[in-house]
Amino acid sequence: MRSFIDRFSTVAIFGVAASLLLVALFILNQKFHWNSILTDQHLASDIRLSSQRTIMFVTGLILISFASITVGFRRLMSLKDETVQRRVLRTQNEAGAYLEVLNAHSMVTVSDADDVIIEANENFLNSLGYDLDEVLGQQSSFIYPYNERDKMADEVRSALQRGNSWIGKQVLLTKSDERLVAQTTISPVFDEQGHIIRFISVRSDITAFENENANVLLGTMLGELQDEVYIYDVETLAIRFANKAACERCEWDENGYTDKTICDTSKYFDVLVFRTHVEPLVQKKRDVLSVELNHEKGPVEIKTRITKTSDGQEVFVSVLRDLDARRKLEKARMESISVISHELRTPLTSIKGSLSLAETGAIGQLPDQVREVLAIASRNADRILTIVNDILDLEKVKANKLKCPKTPVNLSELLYEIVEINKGIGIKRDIELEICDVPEASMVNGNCERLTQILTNILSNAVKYSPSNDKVKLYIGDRQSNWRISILDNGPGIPEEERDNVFTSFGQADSGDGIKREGTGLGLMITKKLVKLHGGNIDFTCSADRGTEFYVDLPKLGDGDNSRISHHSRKLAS
Amino acid sequence: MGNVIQLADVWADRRAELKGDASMLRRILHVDDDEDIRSVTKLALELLGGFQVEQFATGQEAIENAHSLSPQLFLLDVMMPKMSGDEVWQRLIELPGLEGTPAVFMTAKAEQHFADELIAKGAVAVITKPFDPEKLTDELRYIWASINKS
Repeated sequence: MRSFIDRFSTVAIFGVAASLLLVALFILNQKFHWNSILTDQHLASDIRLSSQRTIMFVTGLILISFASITVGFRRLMSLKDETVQRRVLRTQNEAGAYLEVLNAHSMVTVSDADDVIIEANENFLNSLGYDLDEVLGQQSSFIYPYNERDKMADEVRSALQRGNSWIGKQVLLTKSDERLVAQTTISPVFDEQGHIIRFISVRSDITAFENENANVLLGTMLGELQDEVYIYDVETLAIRFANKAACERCEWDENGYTDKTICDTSKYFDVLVFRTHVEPLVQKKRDVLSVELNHEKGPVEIKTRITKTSDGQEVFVSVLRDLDARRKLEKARMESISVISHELRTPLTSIKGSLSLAETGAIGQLPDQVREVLAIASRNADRILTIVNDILDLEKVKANKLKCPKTPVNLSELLYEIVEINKGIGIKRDIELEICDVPEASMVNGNCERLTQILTNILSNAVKYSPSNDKVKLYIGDRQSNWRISILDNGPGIPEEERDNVFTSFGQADSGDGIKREGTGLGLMITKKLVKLHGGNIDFTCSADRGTEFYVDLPKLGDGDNSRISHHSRKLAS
Repeated sequence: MGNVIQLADVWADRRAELKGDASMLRRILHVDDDEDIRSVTKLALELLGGFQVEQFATGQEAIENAHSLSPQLFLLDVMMPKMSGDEVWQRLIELPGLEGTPAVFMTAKAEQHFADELIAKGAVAVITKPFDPEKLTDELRYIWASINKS
């Protein structure tokens, strides 16, 4: 601006100076003219001459002034052009610089109105590992993980179609299927009529930042975990991380364990024993090792794995759990379950007792209709009792406290007894329990009560799902090392997709006819556990012609039985 | 024998120590803190079994009155406030004339180990709640017979 004023002034001063000079010349000329009038007698011709000169001077003055103004104006115009040019140049430079920064910092893509990529910068290609020709022509959503693709594309599209930019965090997949987290801004570009012609996407890779955040979070969580965590070098056994609980046990300063090794965690630590213990991990034969030990501060369970840190070094990760605390917790839990069970049983005793006394007619004869409703009440009191018993059993299963002392049992005899006890359950719907084919003796090593529970459960299910006026058939078959007890019904069967739900807790699978039957859904889960406790297996098959067959395979009691039993008990103990 | 979850074998050999008429069970002393259960039990045992049943809500009351009743069998709830069933039994058999009187326990605790512990302490049988009153009389007769069989 200053130089503009300077230059304009120069031209103006030049113009003014030229005008002044002309005025001076004119005055001098006039003076000479008056002198010559005084001396010359030819006045008329002189006056004419004088008028001509005046006109000439004025014309000259006007011309010079005009020229000056023109020159000044042109100068002014040229100055103005120069400023505009400079400004444009500077803007161009700045935009270039911005683009350069953006290019260096971000992944940039441009896509057309159909969201097909038409441009992609170096950074985009490098970060995601693609070549330019692999990217051009692709839908811009191709970089989202497959399962999130449609959802993300829809979300972005709906924002852009409203004319807004979409700003948010995205997960992208690189060519080698690695996840990359990006902070993204996608903006629409409009033509003069306001139609979207392009989309510009700018993304910053924030994977490292996100990971760091996650690491900080993980670190905090690990630090505060109740279980003790020790991370230590595979070679030197030097501690690289010990969480708060670990430091408490070892009486280490939370920031001062760098000079410690895992050997410092107990004064009885034996390196040789430890190396032998972890050998399968080092050899990659096992993923995790578990051991129960008596630490000087009480019994503990330690699970150890090998993992690689971000710097590529192999480390052991040992998680130590205080068994004393866990045992106390389990005990408290079992006690509370036991109390609830007791609290429920006491009122049930009065309900069932009263109903039963009324039904027997001991306190007076009752009309049939009253007996009928008493029977309903009685049945439902039994259902509550079943639930209470199932829950109690389930808790025992969970706490591994389901005791099952075994003696030799003849399954064939037991089956007859069970059918005798349960023959009442099918009477109401005329369902007959029929023992079809059973060997005289089928000996297993088992617990009579639990075996009865197993078979009663399967039997009551078979009756529950059978059509009325039908038979439930029972068999015992010889399956080499096992006896197979089969219970068959002609019910609607269990759809194959429900197979996984049959043996889970509260998992009453949908039956083939879609009708829901009564029951807690706990029965078969407990049954399966009980069968496992006998070293056996339970499963089922369904077919249109044979109906549903539930079978239990139990190891035969024989010569080779001891080894199997002892192996089984070992498994339970571990 | 639906209600009985445990019956001690040892009582068969200890019949000499037992008091009262070995051939006939008549007088039962029942202690339970739950009033409704007392009512149901009394109805069942008197109406269906023809027994003579004396009932108390606490161990203390039972101990104070037991002597004059000369019961042949104690039927005791286990979980009671202040004094548990087995404590009540220990105090009862200290009373003159009641030494060696057998005890049948009734408990809502269904755990097997719980019954085992009571049997180990000398109980003659353990019956789980809820019990079937119709069967209870038969069971008590069966228990009585098994400890008095010649």
